[in-house]
Amino acid sequence: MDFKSNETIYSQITEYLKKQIFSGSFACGTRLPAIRDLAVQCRVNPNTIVRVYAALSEEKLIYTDSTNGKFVTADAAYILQKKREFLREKSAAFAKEMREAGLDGGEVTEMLRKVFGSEEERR
Amino acid sequence: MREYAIGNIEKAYGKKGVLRGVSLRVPAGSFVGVLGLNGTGKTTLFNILGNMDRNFTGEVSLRGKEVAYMRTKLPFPEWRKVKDLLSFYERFYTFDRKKAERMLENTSIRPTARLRALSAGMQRQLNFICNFCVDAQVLLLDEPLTNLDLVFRGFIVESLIERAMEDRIILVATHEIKEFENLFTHVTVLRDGRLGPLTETEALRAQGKSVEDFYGESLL
Repeated sequence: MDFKSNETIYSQITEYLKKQIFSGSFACGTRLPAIRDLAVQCRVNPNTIVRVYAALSEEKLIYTDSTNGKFVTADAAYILQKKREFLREKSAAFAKEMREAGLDGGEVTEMLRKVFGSEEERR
Repeated sequence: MREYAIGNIEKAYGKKGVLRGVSLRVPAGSFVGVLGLNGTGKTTLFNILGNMDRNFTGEVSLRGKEVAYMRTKLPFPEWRKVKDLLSFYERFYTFDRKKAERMLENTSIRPTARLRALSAGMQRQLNFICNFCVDAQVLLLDEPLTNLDLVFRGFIVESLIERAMEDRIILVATHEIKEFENLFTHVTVLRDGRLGPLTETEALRAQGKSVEDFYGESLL
């Protein structure tokens, strides 16, 4: 993983894992990497991973099975709800930026269609 | 474990004061980057903390067997054998010799080789392995990645991540901020004979500053 050096590592890994969970890469009930393994993979201090897992537990996206480690919650409906919240926040931030640059909803939609279209063509 | 406290260390070479009241309190479990330009006294400080220099004034809360120290060079005569070093560490420290031998098996260093037969990089590998296998509260590393290939650099970083899971303290003096910045819990800058405040790296980033930004600002 490439990290931005002027944003907290903690928030970057938290967001990365959320995306993994929302996209289904880490599906419902999947076991998460051990703290040590994720720390080695990301090349970060394991205390950072401890904090990330604590935050995701707080949000109830993951839970701890005392003997077997950390797992993504088995509640698919809850994940979907959290995913929508996450995307709504991201969209709101994006919309704000576009509005500041002087674009209206129609223009943004048109632009996104082109961007997504050309990305799909490339595949 | 206890906090690691360093109080008002002073050291002069002749009339030239190199360390002029160095103080630091490091919480258990910290991984601290000690930054500073060449010639600011990082190695002088580490030599004092790492039992290599008794000629100073000031206080250090953990000393002797409680501190392992990887110097830039192995402090042993060149005609010594690798296994002599292991025996020395075993006598002086609480030392996991089995673990050290296992780690050496993954290198091309043979226990019967003399130090002079080892390349600079191999000496660094041996140096790291010996000090890493000491069961001490504090591990000091002075530019640990110098002269090492990509593979062993990775090995050191992984080993230190492992160590950082424990309650012990790691202090690294380095210029290689990029390799370590995401491992450091704290950084501090040595300048003009004194250490600046111990600063949490995540707190810096929360203010939109990278470790390098902080270092640059500390030198202004």
